[in-house]
Amino acid sequence: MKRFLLSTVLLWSATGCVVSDPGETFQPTRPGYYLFRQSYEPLCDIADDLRDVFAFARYYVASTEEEREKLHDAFFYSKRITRNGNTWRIIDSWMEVEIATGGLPLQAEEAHWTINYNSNYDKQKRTLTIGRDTSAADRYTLLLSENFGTLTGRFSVETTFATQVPESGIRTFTVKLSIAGEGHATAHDVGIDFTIRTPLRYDSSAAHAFTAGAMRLITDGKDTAEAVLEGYDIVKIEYNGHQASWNCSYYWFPAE
Amino acid sequence: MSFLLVAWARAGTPEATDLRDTPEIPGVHETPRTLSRHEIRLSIGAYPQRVEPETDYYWYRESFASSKYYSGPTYTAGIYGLEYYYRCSRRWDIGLHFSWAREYYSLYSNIDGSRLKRHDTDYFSFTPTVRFQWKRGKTVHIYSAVGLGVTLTAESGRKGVEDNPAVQITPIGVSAGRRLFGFAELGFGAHGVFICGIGYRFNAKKHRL
Repeated sequence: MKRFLLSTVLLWSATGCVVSDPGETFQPTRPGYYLFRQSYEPLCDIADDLRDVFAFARYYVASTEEEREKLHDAFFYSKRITRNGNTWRIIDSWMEVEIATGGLPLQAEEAHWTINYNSNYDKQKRTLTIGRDTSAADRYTLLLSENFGTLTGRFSVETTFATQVPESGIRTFTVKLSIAGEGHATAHDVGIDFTIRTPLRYDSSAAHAFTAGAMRLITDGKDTAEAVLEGYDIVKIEYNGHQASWNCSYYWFPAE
Repeated sequence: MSFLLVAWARAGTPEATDLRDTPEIPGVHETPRTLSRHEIRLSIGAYPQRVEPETDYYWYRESFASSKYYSGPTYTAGIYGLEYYYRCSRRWDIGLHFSWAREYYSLYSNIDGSRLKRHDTDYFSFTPTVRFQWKRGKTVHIYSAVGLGVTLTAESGRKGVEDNPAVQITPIGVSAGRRLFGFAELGFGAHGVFICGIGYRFNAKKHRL
């Protein structure tokens, strides 16, 4: 019986200090990274949208059916493109994109396209407008108004469209973007004003991410964070006097 | 409650008869005079396995406010149990197993690393249990048990309690001793994987054999 009582006391001591979860670690840049994520994610979505817009702009001005077909296969393979006067629709099972061109190609100086995104999934609608900025070739002005969603702002977008024909003979197209400007992101419990200090670089061959650029983020409460992209989905965050790199592909894991 | 259990046991088990008239059966070595009707036990367990269906509440929503703190390691304070069993036949016992367990962790600031507050979660598990005695010796009992009930969960900073099903399966348990005894069990469920403790067997005066 004494042994049993002793064992009981020993088990009691052991069960009183069992760690069932190791917990998290001190991450002083995490609030800054949170601010960055709330601005970066919608910007990635917009970059993906713009990839299709600029691909469609090429499709719009294609001089031959053969070229259109190649662009369709490269960017809109699973989508249907229809036309009704000056309004074009790009339709798939998830989304219907309605592009009001005003009868002008996006490359024209007076061009001003209004693009409505109608989700077939959650029935949400958002609108962006894009027009030609005549200060440079292939430069456009992107306007996100209140009805776009969690992000508003005015941005300058430069685009390059590249065609590669590798040895395999399979032609590939890539859209490269460079985005600068200022905007406002609305998060769950904070509003964030951000300035793109160094243009964000996007390549459609590595979609939904930026590979370079820098942002300054300021909250309503004047918390400030600096973010510098160091590579594909890797960002260095400076917040409250601390610096750390984060891997955006793994939401809350610091970059190694 | 015990009256209900007794009534259920007597109505539902054909073996629930006066033991003085019951012939000796293999594996049961105690004489009818030493068999006790009642048993209470105090136990300590470790490593509980709880049934916690995933709900929207568990989809953690990060916010700017929550990014400013982090949670430290979660500790368990052990599982403390109180059990009662009624012997309704030579082989079968029925009873009620109640246990309390607490898990806790601290929240720390991501700004300066300072400790902000402690978060506690209390688990109260009740499992009506059926126990089968493989061997009911003079001092050593070997048994298996199954219990099914409910776990009530109360968290600090959250109103109300959450109820989830609770199960406790004990493939093997051993007790040693006569009236006062110690026991150890290996199982799976809300009361823990390892359970041990002490107990006391007795007869109520009117049921004394």
